[in-house]
Amino acid sequence: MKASILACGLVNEVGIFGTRGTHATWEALEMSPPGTGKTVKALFGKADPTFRRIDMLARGLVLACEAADLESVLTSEQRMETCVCVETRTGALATDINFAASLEDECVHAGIFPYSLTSTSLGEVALRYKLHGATISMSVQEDDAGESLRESLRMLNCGECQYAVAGVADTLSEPTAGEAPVMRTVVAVLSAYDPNSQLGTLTWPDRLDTERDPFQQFAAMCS
Amino acid sequence: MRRPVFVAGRGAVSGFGVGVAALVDGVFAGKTALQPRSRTADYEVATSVVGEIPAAALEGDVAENGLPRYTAIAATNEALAEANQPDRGDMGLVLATTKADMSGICGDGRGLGSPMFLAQQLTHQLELGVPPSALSCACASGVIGIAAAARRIASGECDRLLVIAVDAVNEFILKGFGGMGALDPERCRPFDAERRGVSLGDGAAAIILSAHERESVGVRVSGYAGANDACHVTGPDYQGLGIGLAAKRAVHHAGLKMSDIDVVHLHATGTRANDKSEAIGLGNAWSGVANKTPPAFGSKGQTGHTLGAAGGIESLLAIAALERAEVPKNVGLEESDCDPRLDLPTSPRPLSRTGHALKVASGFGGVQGAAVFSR
Repeated sequence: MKASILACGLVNEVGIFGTRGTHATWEALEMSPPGTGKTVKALFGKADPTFRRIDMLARGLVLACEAADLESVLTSEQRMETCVCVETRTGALATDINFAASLEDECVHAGIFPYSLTSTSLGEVALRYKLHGATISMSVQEDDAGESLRESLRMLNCGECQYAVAGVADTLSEPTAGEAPVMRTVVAVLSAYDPNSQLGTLTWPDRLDTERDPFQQFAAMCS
Repeated sequence: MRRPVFVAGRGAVSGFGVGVAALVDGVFAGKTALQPRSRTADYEVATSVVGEIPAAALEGDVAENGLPRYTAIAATNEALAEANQPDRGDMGLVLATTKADMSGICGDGRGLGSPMFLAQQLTHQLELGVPPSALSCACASGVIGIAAAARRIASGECDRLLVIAVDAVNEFILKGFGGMGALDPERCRPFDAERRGVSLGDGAAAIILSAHERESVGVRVSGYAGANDACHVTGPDYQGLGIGLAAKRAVHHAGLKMSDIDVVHLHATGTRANDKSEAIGLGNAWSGVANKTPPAFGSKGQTGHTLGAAGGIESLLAIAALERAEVPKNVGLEESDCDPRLDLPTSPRPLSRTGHALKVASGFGGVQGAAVFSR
């Protein structure tokens, strides 16, 4: 199976990078990853009044999509047929623990409960860019990385969608329940295979099954 | 060329007990498994009922945190029996759940809400020979899990897959929905003008899908699709855009017309916003084809909302409607205030055609899923 890579975005502990020219370090921004309420405005000149209220997973995804310049890469008509498929190893662990801690309170922190579902964070991406294709949140462990890419390729190759935002999102800013901190969100905007694609081609099983970190190729395109 | 995908085995655990028969018989008889809270009685939330799995249906003491694993295995054993114990060496698992095993967050276990962690445990316990996949797509997980498995079989990637859709009610989930003001204080009444919210329930469904017609129970997964409202992360699009899109895409994927669908199993949570938008979205999906949708039913007034399991359990009920040539009544519905184009029987109704059933589901994040089952 093949798909064309149209654009990529990367958010990690160093900064925010994309294939359309975004290159900003957290140090230069004077912010901590994955950003504050001012990050989108500071970096992309756009107002995003709800960014400060969304969880860490969603912030990473939104910033990675901005770095990929998703709004320019796909037209609004194309975004009607764009699916979102993202995998995560750490999921919403920090949110889960915060919400669980609030269960003893008189009023639980109901506002964060929806973010205990990783699909909610993917929904934050879908609603910002009006992506009306399927939304799939996948759970992985280290040894099965690339599930979101494989699922996106399946959907693209059988015509279920024309475009896909595929990626990985793991955002834990501090050690949590035995899990080490990790800050990496990578998204690739994919389309049905076009031999004239400028950025590159994603193939499977040729490469996806042999690469230990299939997202490294996208991260490399961003830096 | 897409290969056909057949249903080869089915299993379920619900508030009606262990077994597909208990579930189907209960729902089609108009009964409800929503009962005064027992296992969850100590949790301070504003609802009196939950669709708990009856303690008598469990073999021995099963801790609440162990229910997802226990019920997943029980449902799978039933599905494997119906499928005549197929070889598990080349069978993989697609696990669909919202929070899977929470034992490390709400207890002293090792589960940190990772669906893949539970998927790996189940794969080991069931002695499946292929590494699992796991997805968490909120309350649409079950339907999207069926689609994910069908997609792999249809493409020729594998010949047989087990789909497990599972979740269990716990304090985390009850207080989460309670905190959002989404719970009906009593039994939920989807689509009724007096509805006040959702009721929750435990559940697991296991469905074995196969590329081989000889293994079929007489039903195919003929179409599947997803969509997103792209409107709000916890509330629906008020025109039901996403659910209508998913329904139309799934019917198109099945190579059918909207007029070919004979019965619809609804998401039907009982919240004011969901039911209203679902009725509009589906009414719009059939506009230009008919004045009304095909007869449609929900079952969360009977099983409770089983979250990630709902799409699996309710797909089994959609299939049962075809097999029984009957639409059960919408329990709890007396008078609807929703779009009248949605045909909601308030008493059992015979089906004159039993070719195709559509199942739709929605979840947080604007996630929508739909699947078509055909005889």
